[in-house]
Amino acid sequence: MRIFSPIMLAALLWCVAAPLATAQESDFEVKRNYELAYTTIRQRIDSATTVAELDSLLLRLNGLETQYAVKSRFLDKALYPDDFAGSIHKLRQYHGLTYERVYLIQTQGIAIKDYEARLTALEGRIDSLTTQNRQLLGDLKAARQSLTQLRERVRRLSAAMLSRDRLIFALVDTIFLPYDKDMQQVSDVQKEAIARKLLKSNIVARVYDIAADNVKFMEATQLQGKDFKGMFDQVQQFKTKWSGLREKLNAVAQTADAALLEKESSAPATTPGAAPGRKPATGKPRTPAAAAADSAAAAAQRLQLEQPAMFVDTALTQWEAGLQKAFWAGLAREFSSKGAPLQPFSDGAGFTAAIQSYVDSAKKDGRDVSAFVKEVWKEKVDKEWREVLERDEVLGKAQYASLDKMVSEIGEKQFDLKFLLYIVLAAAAALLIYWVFGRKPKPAAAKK
Amino acid sequence: MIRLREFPLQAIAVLLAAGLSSCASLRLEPTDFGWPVEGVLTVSASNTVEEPRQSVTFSVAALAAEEFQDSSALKGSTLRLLRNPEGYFFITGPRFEHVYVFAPSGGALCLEEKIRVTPEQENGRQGLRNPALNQRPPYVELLDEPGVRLLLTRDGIAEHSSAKGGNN
Repeated sequence: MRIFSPIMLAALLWCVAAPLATAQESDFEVKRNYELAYTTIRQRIDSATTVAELDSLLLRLNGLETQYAVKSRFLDKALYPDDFAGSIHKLRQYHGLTYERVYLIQTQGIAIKDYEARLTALEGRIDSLTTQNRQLLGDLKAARQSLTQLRERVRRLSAAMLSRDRLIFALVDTIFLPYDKDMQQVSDVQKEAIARKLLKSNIVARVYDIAADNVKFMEATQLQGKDFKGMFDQVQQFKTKWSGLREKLNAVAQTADAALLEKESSAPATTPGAAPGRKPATGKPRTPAAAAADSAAAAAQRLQLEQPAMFVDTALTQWEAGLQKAFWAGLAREFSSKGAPLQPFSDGAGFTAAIQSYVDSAKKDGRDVSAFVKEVWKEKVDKEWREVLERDEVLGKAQYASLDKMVSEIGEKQFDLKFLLYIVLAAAAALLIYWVFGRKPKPAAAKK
Repeated sequence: MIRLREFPLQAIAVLLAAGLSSCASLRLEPTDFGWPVEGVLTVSASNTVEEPRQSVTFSVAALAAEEFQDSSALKGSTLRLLRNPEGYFFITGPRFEHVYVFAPSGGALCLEEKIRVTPEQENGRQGLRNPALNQRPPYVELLDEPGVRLLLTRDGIAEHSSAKGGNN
């Protein structure tokens, strides 16, 4: 056996070396084989999901470099504008970046399965909250109840919507977290995986729901001054979160495999009026007409998936506009309910003009505005509406301070005049008393 | 005084001298026209080939007629094209019995040499099987199965030898 083994080894070496020695090498074949091996390794790196896989690919990369090092002068010319060393360096860099990312995912306790479970749980809770919200919104529209009951329903609905919004963004975070370093560094395969999860979780539709439901909420309710702060905070938070998510979604949508989109969009069509990208909850057998309609809907859906940001942006704009409209209408109601005749307004500039006009006319007429200043401005506007009015997107701090000063001054002016009148009256009374009772009779001697 | 009988020869000599002197007045050398690797080109339905990397396109109808006596014989087949450092184009392909050497001239490729690379057969055609052209300055190497290796110049076969690689 010990004698036979070297013979076998020599035979094996001869079998391998002999064809190599006599093989006719076409330069074209050399270049093509190099490019083929290079592309294969790059694709394998791209799809690698474990560190072990990448270790094995590094060995292949080293082998490729060694195998073709003897032909480097030829490859330097043939691979122009790249060269042999440059192409190997690029592949090593790509391998290094992928290795870091895969290592991070594997070693930092990010267990994909845990996230999948969390995703499922979050989806369930969000769906439940969405159903609850819809029911509350329906009740609100149909309700003929006492003001207290209505307020309670609005409060519950508002809280439920906020909880659901938070959960949706938690869901988004969960999807992106394993890759959330830099979307530029995320490979196409991983972007496709993210796209698949986004589609599966109806993320675009859910985010759209946040904005769309808030628009409906604005239309269905009459909020009070103190309610608006939370609403403005909510829309601001949504804008910030959406801004961050939009870039990622676009990056994913651009890379997402057309076949994947085709496959997803060939699912049963969405119901009329449903949010963009929404998948139906149930799939019933379809007639040819329904299939045609589904096909058209699927095409529309694909378009919507490719440009998800556009639809949410539109809903967000509607939400912001609806909130502003509701706010200014609520403030106008506040004045009219207190019998303060302000000219109509629907934005910050209009409100400023209305107050200015009111103050000017009060000064001109010299009428008593103390009730306006005290009961409307100080008690209601300053206490319940000021926080929102001071927001930059509403009126702004400086503008509110200017109006507050203007209104306070007319109040002070009225107070000063009264005070002066009281002083004059008191002085006159004192003088009269003195004249009647305080004057001493002239002495008798003087008469003499 | 120039006699009428001698005028044409003198005129030709003067024109040649002028032409040569204009070429000789400015020469950029050495110039290397060589491609590092051959182009493997598929003949299109319109009987043309295109080497996109080098931006060369030409018709092969006349080449097919010359080699196969059929101007459409090359449609769909592959050709091997390589330019040597001197600027000559070497063209051959499967079933070819020759390597053609062309020089570019005024928007055309002009045949410089037609090199027979397979033995003449009385019965039937014995063309190349799977040829490849490699740049081996100052030669162009022709490889074919089984074990054929020829070193070519623009004038013909410089050397027959056993096959060995050497493109590093």
